[in-house]
Amino acid sequence: MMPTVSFGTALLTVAGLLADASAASAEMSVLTSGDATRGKQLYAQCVGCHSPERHRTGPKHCGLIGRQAGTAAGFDYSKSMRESKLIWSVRTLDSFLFSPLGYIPGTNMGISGIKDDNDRSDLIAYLIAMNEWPECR
Amino acid sequence: MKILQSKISESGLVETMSARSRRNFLLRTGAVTLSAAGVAMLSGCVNAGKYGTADGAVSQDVKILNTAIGAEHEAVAAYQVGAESGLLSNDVLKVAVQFQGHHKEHIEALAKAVMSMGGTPAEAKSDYGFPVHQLKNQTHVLEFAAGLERGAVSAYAGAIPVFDNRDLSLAAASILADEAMHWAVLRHALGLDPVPGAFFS
Repeated sequence: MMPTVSFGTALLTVAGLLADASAASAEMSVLTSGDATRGKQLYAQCVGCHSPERHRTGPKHCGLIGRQAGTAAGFDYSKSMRESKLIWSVRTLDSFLFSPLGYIPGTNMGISGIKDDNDRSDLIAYLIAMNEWPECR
Repeated sequence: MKILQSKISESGLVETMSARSRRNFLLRTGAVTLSAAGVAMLSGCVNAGKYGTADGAVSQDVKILNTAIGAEHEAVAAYQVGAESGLLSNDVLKVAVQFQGHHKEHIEALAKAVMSMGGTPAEAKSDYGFPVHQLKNQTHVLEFAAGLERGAVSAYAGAIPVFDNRDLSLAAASILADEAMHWAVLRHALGLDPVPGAFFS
């Protein structure tokens, strides 16, 4: 018997594909337009709690892109972060940095977030570039 | 004020003020302390029941406070590293110890607030893994401390809008002001513009 696909399911599928396309577009947008040099300057905002190569009040950022949230060895994450099952990508980082507490309620990163689209894009570009550092490999 | 001089420091920074004038500036500004009102806001006014705050909101506020306590503990440890490095002049050492004292006061006040909300204050780590091997002279120590203070200002600035209990926002603003003064003093000591802009993020 052939499976039937309802109109609603089809719409959801199309919506999902569009969302994926949108996410991919966002990834490309940051990869092509994010200014890692400016992102380095913006990273000064993060160094109260974070460092590229060592855990501090917040986890280290080396290897962040592509890592599952809450899984860096040796860091004591919030339950919310551990259970989020997120993979850090341009899209998920962008959403998290916009509103950490809105995206992952219960996270220990209790800040309002970075509201400027360009600032987030540049900061993420810097975090991506960080993955290529010798000290991050 | 001493005549400005321009010489390349050990780290390559261009020094725009004489060492003596920076030392004097450090001694003068080092006397600034966190206001008693800021401490009172944290230790005496936080009462979740009084404000009818929901449990979830209290829990989130405690998390934010504990993140702040964690960063303050790190700052205390960082100044300890600087103080014990043997790289600081006596004048700079006095200011570093004083700034460390401010961070200890922040911890005390924040911890009282956490306990008044039914939480357990974050404790200091046994090891922070500071890049001690990179600290070769006084400039390096000052740059290291300035980076931490600048980051702390951002952290408090980001936390202020998200506290459910607005008294905590007020108190965090008081601490932010203190950390910003530390940052400005350290920048000045480094020969940098102590207040590099009209806005801060």
